[in-house]
Amino acid sequence: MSKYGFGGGIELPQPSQTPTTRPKAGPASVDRAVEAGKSLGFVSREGPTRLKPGPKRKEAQDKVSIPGPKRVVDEFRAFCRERDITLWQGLELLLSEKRGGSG
Amino acid sequence: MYVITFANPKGGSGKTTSAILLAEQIALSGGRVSILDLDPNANILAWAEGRKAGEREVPFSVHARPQAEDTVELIDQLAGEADYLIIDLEGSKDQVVTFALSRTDLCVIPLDGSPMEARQAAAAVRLVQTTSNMIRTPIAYSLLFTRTNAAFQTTDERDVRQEMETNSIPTLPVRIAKRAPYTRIFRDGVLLAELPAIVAKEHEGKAASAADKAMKQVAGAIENARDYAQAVIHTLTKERVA
Repeated sequence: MSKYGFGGGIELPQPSQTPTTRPKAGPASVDRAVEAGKSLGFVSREGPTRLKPGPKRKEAQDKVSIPGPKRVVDEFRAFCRERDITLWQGLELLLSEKRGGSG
Repeated sequence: MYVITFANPKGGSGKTTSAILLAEQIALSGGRVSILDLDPNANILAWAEGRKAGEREVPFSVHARPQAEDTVELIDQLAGEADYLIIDLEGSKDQVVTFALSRTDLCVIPLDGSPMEARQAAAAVRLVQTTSNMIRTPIAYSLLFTRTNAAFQTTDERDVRQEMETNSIPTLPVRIAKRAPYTRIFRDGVLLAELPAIVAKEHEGKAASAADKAMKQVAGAIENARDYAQAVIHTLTKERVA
């Protein structure tokens, strides 16, 4: 025995004494428990996982202002509206068509 | 695998300290232990990462909080790696508590004996009983008085204990007293078992009486932790056999 009693541990049950794992509650009964827990005030505190609506900006952004003849601007706006795309998507579409035509 | 969960919706009731003390005692005694740190403050996870960064041993694995809905699946997965899974929960009424309880063998509910913590402990008891009814499986639970004064029992604690006895609420026979060595675990990223050597080094060249006093304080903390861990294991095995 040490002077201060630092040595030693606790008695754990032998692995062979450990009874078989008790039956696991199925998902349906866990869901019932969660619902019952809500009535006791134990509710989800996690933030919403839904993304904010609007364009998802996954790449660097920039902007351009293009002054020009009204007929050209109107035609470009009509082009985008007919396809239900934004102005930058319309520009991207035209550029990709040009790449496809020249390549 | 035994699943031991520490729950009390009141923060600061001693869940994290009780959880890590138990994990250390079981690991030092040869048991395979994992901790699931479901507290968003992640104090045990930070403690383990700090030790790993300093190339110090972590005698049990520590797992981070998943999405609440994935908690049950993660607990089931951990059955292969540990004999004892210790779950530290956050001090709030979060539904992750219910998910954890649905796989729990023993829920330990720490409280300091104040009326405020006793009321929150009662909420935890009600959730344990409700969850147990819903999953049609008994979930053992026991209250644990923590951060108590080692020298005497306060009138608040006496009053709370009396109500526990009147209502037949199971309580662990050992209290965890408020002790400086326990706060050092998280302050210095140490294990309780490492403190004797650390304290001895700190007192090199100092008066023998001061060193002796400090060592007795550490010895008292270790003895208290050991008695507490043994009481938890006795309760756990008794309930599982029953």
